[in-house]
Amino acid sequence: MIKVKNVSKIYGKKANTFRALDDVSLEIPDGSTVAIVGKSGSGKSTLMHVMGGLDHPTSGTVTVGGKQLSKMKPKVLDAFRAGEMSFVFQAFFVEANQTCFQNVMLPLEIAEVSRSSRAAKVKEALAAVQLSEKSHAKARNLSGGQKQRLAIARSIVNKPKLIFADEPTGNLDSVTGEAVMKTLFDMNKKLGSTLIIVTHDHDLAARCQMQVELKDGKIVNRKKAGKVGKK
Amino acid sequence: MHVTDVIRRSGRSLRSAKARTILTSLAIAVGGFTLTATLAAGNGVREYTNRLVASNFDPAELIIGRDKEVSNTGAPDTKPKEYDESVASLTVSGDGSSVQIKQVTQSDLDELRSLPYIEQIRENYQLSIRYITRSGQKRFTLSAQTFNPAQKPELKAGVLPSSADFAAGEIALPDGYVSVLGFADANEAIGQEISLNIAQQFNGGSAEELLVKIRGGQDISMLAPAEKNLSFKIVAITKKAATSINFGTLPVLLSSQDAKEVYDFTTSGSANYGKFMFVNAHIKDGADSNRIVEAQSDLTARGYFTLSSKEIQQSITQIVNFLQILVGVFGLITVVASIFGIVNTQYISVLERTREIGLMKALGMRSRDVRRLFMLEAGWIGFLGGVIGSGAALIVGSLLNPWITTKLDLGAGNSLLVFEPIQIVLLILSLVIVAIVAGFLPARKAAKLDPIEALRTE
Repeated sequence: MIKVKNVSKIYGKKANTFRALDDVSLEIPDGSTVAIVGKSGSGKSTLMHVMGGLDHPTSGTVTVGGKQLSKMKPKVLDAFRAGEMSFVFQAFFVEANQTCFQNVMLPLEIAEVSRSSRAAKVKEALAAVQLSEKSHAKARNLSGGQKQRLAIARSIVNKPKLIFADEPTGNLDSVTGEAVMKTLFDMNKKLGSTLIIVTHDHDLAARCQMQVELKDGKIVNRKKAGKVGKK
Repeated sequence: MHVTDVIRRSGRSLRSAKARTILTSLAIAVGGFTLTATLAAGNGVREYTNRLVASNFDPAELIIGRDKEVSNTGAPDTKPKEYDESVASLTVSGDGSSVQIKQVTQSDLDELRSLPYIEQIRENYQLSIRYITRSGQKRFTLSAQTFNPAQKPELKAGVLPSSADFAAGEIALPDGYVSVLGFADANEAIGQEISLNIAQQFNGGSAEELLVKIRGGQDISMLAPAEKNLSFKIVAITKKAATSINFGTLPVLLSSQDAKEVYDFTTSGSANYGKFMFVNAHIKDGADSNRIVEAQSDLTARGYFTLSSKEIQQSITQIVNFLQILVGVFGLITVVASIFGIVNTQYISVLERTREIGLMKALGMRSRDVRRLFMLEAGWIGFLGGVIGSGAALIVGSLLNPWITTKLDLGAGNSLLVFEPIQIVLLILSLVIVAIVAGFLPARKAAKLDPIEALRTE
């Protein structure tokens, strides 16, 4: 359960302030799929960063699994992110010079997962995104869709409770994008991970159990499709 | 993140920028090369010095003089000395300048011989021999020395007495005289006779006295300096040893008994007869360096100047160390210069990989680990540079060693460059540490990157 309570985020100082988030409150049950939609500059990325602990709100609190992020020490927050969260980005951010295997290994190394169990987990994650045979190929030789699937494999390898996807299909054509989304939704079902997608694609948003629309840092619209979450 | 994972990841990211990595490490390799070569040369010269001293000086012997000028280190003492019969003037350079040296006199020798810890005194006879010849051959100049059992000249033929002295009438001849004296080869010369011509100093009194004698009609032919031919049997033919410290003509070696005879005949009646710049004293149980030190302190208290083989070795080693430090400083300057290369390269690396850093931090990598990642990357560059530099020095040194040995006439088995594995390992290790320190600033920049900003970079 993620609880966002009266969160505001203000950038800049004095006269040049910019209110990226304005008194946002939100609850996301575990295992649900959530779309955060809005035009660019509406604050959707900032909301994701705040929920992911990458950014601290100017006021208000974010609580993930009962723990308030802003009260954590940087070290604990890093460990928390390494163990329970992961990210998928529009621009993939895979290491072109490293093999797929090495790319997927990264979160396990960061989370200090025991060495003996790493290889099996990486293989499992690559298999889940149908990249098993590319295991030892350099990431630079993959197509766009494959790169994003690789990024998804990296995001699920440590079985996080929370997956943030920032415009995951933004750089892909519709067919490939569809395949990538299917993979993400499959992971949500299989692992029970909460999936939070930042997008301006309304078709994609419509497939999520919950939609939150932001405008000028405020939630202007909330939709729930059917019954949400497990609990 | 485990350190081993950080090390592996940093090595891997270097491999993806091979050209840049190698070029940067080449800068540090130049320093590594210089330092390795300097260390090796220092080792080699020290080893050579030790061998040189060991084969020219008996560690159980002390050089004893009356004047510290004997050892000729540092600037000469130019203060006027009070007159004393034992002071001799010695020309020391081509412009005619000289130093006055207080010599060891007969009464000093008597005192030294009476000391319980001195077993034997070898006077350092100055032998002036007019010429060497053989029946039916021309006359040749030569230098001569008393045979010193501590020095082991290399032999071309014949044998040397193992420890003691030559017997009277025996002589060792340098190989240069073999053919000029008409021998077919060195072996043929062994057992043959040669003769040395020595002459007394003119001893006829002052010019006025002479004039009086001549005017008085006296026969002065008997005042002409007497000369004498001494016959010797050749027992050995010597050649220049690699560890010889004799830089002039190789000397003819005589037994101490014959040397004394030559000395007495040629210098008797002259002002410096029976006086020596220094003598060699064999100390009882002198193999024990404590005995030597005890003897030295007692002799110093008695007003003598002493020099042990250890001190000779130390004074040479000191010069070697100084030169080594001098060259080493140049190596260090190169290393310092290469530090800037590493800093520059690492800054570029951080800029290039902003997104990668952002991603790693977003995935929960701690700032400390990010800093480590980049510092270890710099460490890898240092390691590579050290290995390249030391490796190149090792290869070049091994290839050049035989050539240097011949050029410098060091003698077979002696190398100028002696590589010590432990030194090389320590050197590479310190280059790694230097590189890691150099990588600190760029690594700190990486660690401080805000992941949100970093990931925004498109």
